[in-house]
Amino acid sequence: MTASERLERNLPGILDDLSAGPSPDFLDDVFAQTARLRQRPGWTFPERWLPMADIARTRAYTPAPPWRLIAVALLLIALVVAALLVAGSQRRVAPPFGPARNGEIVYDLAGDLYVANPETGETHVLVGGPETDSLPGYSPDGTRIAFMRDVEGRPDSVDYYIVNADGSNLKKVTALPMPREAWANWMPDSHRLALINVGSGPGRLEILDVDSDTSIHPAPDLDVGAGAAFRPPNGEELAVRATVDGKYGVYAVKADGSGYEQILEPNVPLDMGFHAANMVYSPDGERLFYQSYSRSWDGQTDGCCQLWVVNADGTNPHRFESVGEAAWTGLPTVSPDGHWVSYWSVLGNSGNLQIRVAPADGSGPSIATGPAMSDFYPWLWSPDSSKILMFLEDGSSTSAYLIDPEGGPYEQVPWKSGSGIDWQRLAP
Amino acid sequence: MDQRGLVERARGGDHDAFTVLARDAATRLERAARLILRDPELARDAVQEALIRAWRDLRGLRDPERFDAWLHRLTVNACLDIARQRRRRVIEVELDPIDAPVIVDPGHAVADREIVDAALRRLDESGRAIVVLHYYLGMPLTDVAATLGIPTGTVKSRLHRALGEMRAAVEIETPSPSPIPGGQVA
Repeated sequence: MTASERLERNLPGILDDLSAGPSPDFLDDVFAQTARLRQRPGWTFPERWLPMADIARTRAYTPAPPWRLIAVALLLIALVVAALLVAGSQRRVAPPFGPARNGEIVYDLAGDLYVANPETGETHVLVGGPETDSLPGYSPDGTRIAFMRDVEGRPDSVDYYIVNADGSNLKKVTALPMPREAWANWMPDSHRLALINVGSGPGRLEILDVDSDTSIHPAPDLDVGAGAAFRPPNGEELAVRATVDGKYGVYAVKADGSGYEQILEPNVPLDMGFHAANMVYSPDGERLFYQSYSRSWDGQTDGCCQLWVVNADGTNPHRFESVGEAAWTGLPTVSPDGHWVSYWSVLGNSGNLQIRVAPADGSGPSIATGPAMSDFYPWLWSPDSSKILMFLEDGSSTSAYLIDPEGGPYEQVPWKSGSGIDWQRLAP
Repeated sequence: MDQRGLVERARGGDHDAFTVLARDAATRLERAARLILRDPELARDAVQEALIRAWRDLRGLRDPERFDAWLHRLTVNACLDIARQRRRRVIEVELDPIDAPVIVDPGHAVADREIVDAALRRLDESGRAIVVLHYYLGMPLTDVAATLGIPTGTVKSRLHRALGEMRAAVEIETPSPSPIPGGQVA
């Protein structure tokens, strides 16, 4: 017999030896206590009315449940449910480019901002108060509005503010006042503003993140003019007009500050102030529409302007459409669905201005639509591309027009507004 | 009267029947508690606590035949409760030597007793409870597991480890047989 076998066989006896001691002498004390102690009633024991033996019984030969696998599966299910809840709770927003659903219309009037429902005609104040607010513009995703507020006591200066589309969370986003001539617009990501400070010095482009309050100057050596076009599909490239060596040229600036490239050579004299003042990219981002310096309609003198188009890389600049009697064409906009380009047209000596709409791919002739005007007025496309909304001031009335881009009848909206007007984009 | 009858009477509130049951079990319980706690005073406290609980909760015992196992469980739980309280108070308890009779053992009994004693001291209270329940009180391992509320596999592994330590100690302390000339082992 080995030592360990002997140990195991003798272990009970050894334990008995080790535990030996005097007989318990405390039992009388225990019994004295228990004699005074009432027994706990039977009904208070769960074992008396629950089948505890069945509940607590361990099943023989039953394989243990794969707890680890079950835990992983439960975790995955929880993650999926959480993701669905988060996705469901997040409001869908409109994309930065392309067609969207028509939302509300924001406009300025007498220093306040209003919102109108284009379906019902109902309006309400969005931002009121003693301040003078103007030129509201929706972010491309339709969730926020940026606008300009006059600086009290400084008639030439303004601050820029943003506010949620429901009027909440008003926030000033520019640290210092800017000249009234400054230009601002939302970047397509709806988190940044593109600001062009065109004060007394050179114009400077600034990209301001309104959420983090940080900004960069992507092309600090370019003297840029007011206005920029955002290149689809992501808008991270901006076409700007810049003054180089006393001439106007057009440049594509990277929004992240990584540089810029020339699109149109700087060769237009500065007295052609409308040249490239308004530009817009085609929906695919491959072409840039702009109003270009050209010979005037009578061919006798230099003048401005005609609607031109150039490839985004600067190649193949050419006149977009030749409207026989048009002395002036410009201020292009492209419909959100990408099918149409619209522009102002001045017919011959009549001096009448009218909107013209042409297929954006140049595949067909243009048509005139809307009322004939005596001056330029701003307009914009409805997000679903079915209407053109044009601000109009005819002396007594300041109501905007809803125009059929295909030349049909037009009508005035039932509310009056200033010239600052914009249409909210909603998720399709 | 047999134990079952006594249990049924005690469960009905007969204190005399309970005293008979308690006296029968007290020595066994106290010795088991000594082995677990390695302290006579604490062992006494544990058994007192177990007996008082037994009287109070006797009506919760459904099967009178399980009275002994139930009482062992109450005792072991009282021992472990006391051990936990002792650890929380961080009090160094001086272990009194157990007053055991000297056994004349021509073989290895004395050496084995010392080895087991030392090995038991190296185990914690729950480890000692497993050894005591199985080897001293003779409980099957499944009942040990049920008493301590741990899986049977855990009981087996801990018992194996405790025995392994004891075996190793025994192998070290026991001199190897001397080789006999000619190459045979006696």
